[in-house]
Amino acid sequence: MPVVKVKGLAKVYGAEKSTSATWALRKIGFEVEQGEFLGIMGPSGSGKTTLLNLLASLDRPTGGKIEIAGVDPSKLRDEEMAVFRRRNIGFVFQDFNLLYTLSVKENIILPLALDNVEPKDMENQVTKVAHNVGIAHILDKYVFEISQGEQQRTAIARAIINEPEVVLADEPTGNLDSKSANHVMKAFTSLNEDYGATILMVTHDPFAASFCKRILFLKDGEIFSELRRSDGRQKFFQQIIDALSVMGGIFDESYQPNF
Amino acid sequence: MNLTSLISKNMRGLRYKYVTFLLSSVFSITIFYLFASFIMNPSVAYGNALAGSLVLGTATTVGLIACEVIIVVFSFFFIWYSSSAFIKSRSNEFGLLTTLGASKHQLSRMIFTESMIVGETAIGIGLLLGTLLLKMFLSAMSLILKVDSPIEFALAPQAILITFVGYTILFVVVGLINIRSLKKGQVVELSRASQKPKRPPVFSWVLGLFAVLCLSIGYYLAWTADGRTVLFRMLPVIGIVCVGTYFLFSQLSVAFLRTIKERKGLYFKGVNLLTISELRFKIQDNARVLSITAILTAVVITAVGTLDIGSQTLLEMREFEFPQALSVTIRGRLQPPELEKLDVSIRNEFQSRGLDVQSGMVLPGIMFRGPHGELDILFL
Repeated sequence: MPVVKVKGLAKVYGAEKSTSATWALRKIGFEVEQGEFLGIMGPSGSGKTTLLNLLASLDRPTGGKIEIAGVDPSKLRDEEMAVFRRRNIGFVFQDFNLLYTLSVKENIILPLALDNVEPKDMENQVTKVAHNVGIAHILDKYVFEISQGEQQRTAIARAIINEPEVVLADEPTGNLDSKSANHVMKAFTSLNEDYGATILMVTHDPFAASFCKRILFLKDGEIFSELRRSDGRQKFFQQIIDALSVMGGIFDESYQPNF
Repeated sequence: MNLTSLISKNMRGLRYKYVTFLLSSVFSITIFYLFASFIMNPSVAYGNALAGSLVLGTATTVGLIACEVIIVVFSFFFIWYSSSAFIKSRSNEFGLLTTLGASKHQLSRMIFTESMIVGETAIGIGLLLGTLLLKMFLSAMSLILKVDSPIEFALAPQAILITFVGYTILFVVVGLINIRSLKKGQVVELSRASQKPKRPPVFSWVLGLFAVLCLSIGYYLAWTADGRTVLFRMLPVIGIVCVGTYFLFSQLSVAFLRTIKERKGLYFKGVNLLTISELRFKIQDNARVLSITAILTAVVITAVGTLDIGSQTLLEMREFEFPQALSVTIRGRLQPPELEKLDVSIRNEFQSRGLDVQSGMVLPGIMFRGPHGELDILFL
C-alpha cells in the first residue's frame, strides 16, 4: 500500500500558455511504499524543491494529483490542512529551523503541543524518540549550546515525534560537515529500518543519497532515471556517481565524496 | 507543556526583541496619562474656582483635549507600525509553525495573546512611570502657568481609568489588525518574506516638495496666529505639520544619503561604503520612528504653548474687565438712592481704616451661571 501517490504532477511558474512560462515539473508520477527510504536527486533547477513544496502542500500544483495516506491535501480547508500536516507529515529542513527560544526537548514536542497531547504522553514519546536519534543526553540544553549535527537530529526527532505517515527532508545534510552528516544519515537509517518510518529525502549529496533504498533522478522537471540499492552502500555510492555523470552537465554545486 | 506555556517561554526568549516595542508604547502612554491627570486634576478642573487655583478657559481645555486626541491617534499608528514590523521580522517562525501543523486559529491566538500581554505590561509601566513623574509635571505646569499656589499632587482615578481602557482598546484593535494581515497573506509567503531582496528607497521630488510646502504653510499659519484665530488654526496646523514632518524625514533623508552616495570620494572610503549603503535601507524604518518622536514632542510643546496663551489671555481679560484694585459685588436689585448710600458707606469704611479711595464707580450687571456651573457677571 503506497503512502505517497503522485500522478501527472505539473507545476508551471508564470502564465501557463505564455512564452515566459517555466515548467518546473512536467507531469511526473511515482509512488512511495510504506517503510521506504526514497531519495530524489537532481541538479539545481531540476524541480526537486518544487516537488517537495508540492508534497508538503506549501504550494499548489498546476496539474496532476498528490495523495498522502489516501488524502488529497489540496482538497483540504485551512483548519483541516493544519491538522493533516500535524499528524501525517514530518519535516526536516536544510537549515534545521529550530526555535532558539526553546530547549531541545521543547522543540521536539512542539508538534505535540500544537495537537494538545497530554503532557505525560509527550514525556514518554520524547524520551523514546531522543534515544533513537542519539540526543537523549542533551534534551535540556538550548539550541545555541549544541552542535549543528545535534541540531539536525533534534529537527529529525521533531519530525517523527507525532509518528507521521511520511517524513519529508529537504537537503538535510546540506549545511553539515561530513561527520555530522554521517550521524544524521545514520539517524534516518535507524528510523527507517527499526521503526519502519517512510522517508522522502531531496538531496544533491551522493553520500547522503547512498543511505537511501531507492533514488529517483530528476532533470528539467522530468524523471530521468531510477536506481535501487541491492548491495552495500559503497557500491551504491559508485552507482549514484555513475548515474549522475550519465545525466551529464550536472552539479554546479561543488561536490566532494565524504566517506 | 501546552501551547500557552510554549507561548510564554517563546516570549521570554524573545524579550529583547519586545523591548523596543514595549518602550515606545510606554513612552506614549506616559505622556497621555500625564496630560489626562493634569486635565482631571481637582484643582484644575472646572467649577472649582477656589482662591489661588486655576480655572482654564474653554479654548485651553479644547487645546489640551486636542493634544490628547493627537497622542492617541499617533500612538495607534506607532503601535500598529512597530507591532507589524515585529511580526514581519518573525515571519520565518510563523512559516515554520505552519509547516509543523499550527492552524491559522492557533497562530492568531498566539499573536493576539502576545500583543495583549505586551500591551497591558506597557500600560502598567506607563501608569507607574507617569505617577512617578506626575509631581514634577504638575510643578512644571504651575511654573509655566504662573499660578500663585502650585497645583496640588493628586491621583485622578478617571485619568488612570481612561488611560487603561483607551490603550487596552487600542492594543486589541492593533492585535486584530495584525491577525487580519496574517490571514490575508499566505503564511508560506510570510516565511519567504525575509528572503526577498529589499529594494532601495527612492526619493520622490513630488513628496519632497510636498513636505516643504506642508511645513511652510503650517508654520506660517502658526506664526501669524493671534489670540482670536489660534483656536481655529490649531488643529489644521498640527495636522499639516505632522504630515510634513513625516515626509521630511522619509524623503529628505533618502535624498541626503543619495547625495552622499554620489560623492564617490566619500562613499568609497573605508567602512563608509557599508555604513551609508546600510543606512539607505534602514532609514525608511528610522524615518517613521523619528517622525513619531518629533510629532509627539511637537504635541507636548503645542500643549504647553496653548496653556501659556490661554492663561495669558485669561489674565489680560481680567485686567481688562476689572481694572480696579478692588471690587465689591452686591447681589439684589437696588434703587439709585440706596446705591448712593451704600457707595458712601463703603468709602467711609475704607477711609476709617486709613485707605484712600481715589476713584470708584457703580456698575449695574446681571449674575448668571455658565455652562459649566461657574458663576459669572455680565456688566451692562
